[in-house]
Amino acid sequence: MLKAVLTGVATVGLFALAPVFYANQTLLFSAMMYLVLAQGINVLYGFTGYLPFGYVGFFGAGAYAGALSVLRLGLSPVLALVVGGVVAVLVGVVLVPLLRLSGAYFAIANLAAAQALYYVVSNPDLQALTNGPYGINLAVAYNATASYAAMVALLGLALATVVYLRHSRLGLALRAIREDRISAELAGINVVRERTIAWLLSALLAGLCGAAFAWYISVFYPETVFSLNVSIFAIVFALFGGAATLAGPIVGTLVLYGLYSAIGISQPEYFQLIFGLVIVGLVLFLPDGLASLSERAGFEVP
Amino acid sequence: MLAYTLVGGLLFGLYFGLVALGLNLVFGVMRLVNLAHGDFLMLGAFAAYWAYQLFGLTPVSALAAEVVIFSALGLALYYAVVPRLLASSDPEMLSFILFFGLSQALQALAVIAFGNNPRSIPATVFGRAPVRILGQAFPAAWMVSGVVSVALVLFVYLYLYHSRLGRATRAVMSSREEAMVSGIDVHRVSAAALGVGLMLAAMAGAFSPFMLGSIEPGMGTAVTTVSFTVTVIGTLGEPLGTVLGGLVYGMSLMLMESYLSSWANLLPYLLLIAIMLVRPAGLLARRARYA
Amino acid sequence: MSSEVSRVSGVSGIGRSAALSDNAARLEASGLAKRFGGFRALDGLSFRLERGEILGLMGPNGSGKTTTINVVSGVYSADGGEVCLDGKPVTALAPHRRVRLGLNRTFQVPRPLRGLTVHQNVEVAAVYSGAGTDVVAQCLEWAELAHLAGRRASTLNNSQQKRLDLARALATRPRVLLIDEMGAGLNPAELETMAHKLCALAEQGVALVVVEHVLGFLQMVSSRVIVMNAGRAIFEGTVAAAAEDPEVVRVFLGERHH
Repeated sequence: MLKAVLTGVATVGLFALAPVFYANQTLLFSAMMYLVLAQGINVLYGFTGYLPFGYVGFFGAGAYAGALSVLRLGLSPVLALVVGGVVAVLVGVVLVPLLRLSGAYFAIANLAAAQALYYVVSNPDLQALTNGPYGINLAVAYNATASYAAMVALLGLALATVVYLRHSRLGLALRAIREDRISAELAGINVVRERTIAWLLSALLAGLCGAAFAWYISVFYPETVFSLNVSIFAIVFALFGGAATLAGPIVGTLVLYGLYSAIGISQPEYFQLIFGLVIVGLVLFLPDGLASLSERAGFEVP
Repeated sequence: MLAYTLVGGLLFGLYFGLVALGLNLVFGVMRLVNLAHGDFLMLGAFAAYWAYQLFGLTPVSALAAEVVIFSALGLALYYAVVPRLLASSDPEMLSFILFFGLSQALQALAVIAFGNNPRSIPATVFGRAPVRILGQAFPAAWMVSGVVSVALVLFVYLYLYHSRLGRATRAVMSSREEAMVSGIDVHRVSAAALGVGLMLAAMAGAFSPFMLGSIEPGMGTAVTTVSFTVTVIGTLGEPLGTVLGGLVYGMSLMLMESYLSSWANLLPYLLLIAIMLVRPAGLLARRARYA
Repeated sequence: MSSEVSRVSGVSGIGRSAALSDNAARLEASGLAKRFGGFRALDGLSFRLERGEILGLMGPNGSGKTTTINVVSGVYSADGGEVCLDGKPVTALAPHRRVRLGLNRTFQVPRPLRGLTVHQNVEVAAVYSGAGTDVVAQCLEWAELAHLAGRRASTLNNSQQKRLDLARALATRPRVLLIDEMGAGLNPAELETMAHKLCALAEQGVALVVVEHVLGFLQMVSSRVIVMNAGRAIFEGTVAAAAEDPEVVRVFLGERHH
């Protein structure tokens, strides 16, 4: 527990102070964003085994809800963050029936839901509301420092959520469900209720994250915030480091996002190739991520 | 308009049945969702493109080469990864992630090899004269795609129901364990199914320039989703049900595009979710798949 | 041992109505039915079980014993019939609700939460059933697993996993416990210890249903057995009487000749 809290505080502190030493704030912001998303995936996949392939749907919903509540309702950006989180949770509530599906069916249905949301938001018929395919310009609320600070706070929230899950009865119940649904029920766990809580928590993190992203980036298009790549990155970062741990997704994000920023922007196809091969290698040789390597060496991962 | 929509829907439906057939065959035999299915279709499309560019072959003539290349690829892929996957703690989820990684790698390789420019094969490769049905004119390429699709479905039918390998394949589909104890070489059957599956995907790819739009390295993801939708409509694990799924999907797509075009993009996704939730075992329901 | 022997056929006989009355049984199943496609796994099974009683459930493979446990514990929903716990119907409740009311079961092939420790396996059951964490140490002790508390459940051997399965069930403070094939895979000494433990539970008031292939084990724990065939009860009485009943003998021999 202490080790986990220290790891979390160190990570948040690092990102809070980094802009003083490092000029590329956008890179830092994106790294934090993927950290939050990877932990959001971790909350769901690491603790319940549901792999949300369409996780980006919550992110996009949060980005649009946040941005539109500033533009159309004149809310303050901080309040808009909350709206982004709430709307993502509402989307999560609508999609609760998907949790009845198992394994790959859930993953694909969730992906389909995110794509459907994208086609709704970007539909030219809804231009009056969402500005359709032409995207959002949030320059009126632009504030790089405040939105960066918001993402730091969000990172703290995401890490705290995972620490909580690793050390609470809810987390124990979720891991029980992941191990064996029937045995979990026979331990008296209300499987439907607990997994719904994890699902909505995970949606909340992505929604808040999307709204913070919209605030920071200020101009974006539907394909930016509903890009399947967002889900994919977050999932692979979490799995690479090791799901169901706090440190795994942190290490996974820092390593792979570091790699991405080194070669992925100038030569995306080479990054994608490495990325694809890493995934294949991961499944075949290290299905529990880097964390399992360190645990095999006798070092417990927080 | 309606006659055009219906005949067009039929042709597209047959084609979509072919697009998804390989995915469903692989699922039926191995219970693995091949998330790279659409990427193999993309590779098949590029193969047909280069056959046309370099040798002037039409997609129909290119099929012979695709059969050889892609069935070999399927066999190799099977023995390289699947036995290891099936022995793992959670084959369904891990294979899903593995094939997803493969999909990423294939897309990247395609960009590296062919670049990002969209390619196409002129539809006039099958002649300039349109085919007239019920007083409506249809591109000859649509007709050819429809006919090839029917031929390949027939091939799969003969393979499954009138060959020794097919009988063994159906036995594995109904129960892997029972097939194993009754002396069937499950690995051989499964490897063959993956070979046939990839071959079918690649052959469908040869006609994609006429039916799905331009050939691009990134086209696979959408194709996989559509294939999955078609498969689910037609019942997962029931290869011939895919034809029904394709017809339902093709017809609905044509109707949407004729009468509600700006929302047509939503169709595969909404259909997929609706069918999974309302009729989870597909239209030819037998098995449920709830968590 | 009582020599009371009654032949029952299907629903009639022991299947009394589940009236809410003072003399309601601890567990009463009436007319239970379960179909898988066209196969009738349970076809109108009824039985009652009093406080502190151990009822044996026998029958050839596929006769519906495990299905009975699955339906009573709520892992499968019943297609017909009713299950009452202390006179209150629980048929419509989800498994976790039945657990919280004091109904639990074990598995023929134990299914522990493999990635969790032995202690966590028992703890989660104690916490979520409402029994409280006080019972954890006691249950681990009872199942002779205290020295393995920190081990991952996946590292246990078969006998240890069976005892963990029992400890998990006991941590929910059950009033009714359904035990599926305890004897399979245990050596004679382990069997005897287990029989003593189950009898001790019954003396504390827990009502048990014991599905068993090992006849000797049933003889050690239960005075009354029900023999099932094709989803129905074909015999009810003592273990000794069952062995002499012509229909029971025919059913079991039929299985062997199969």
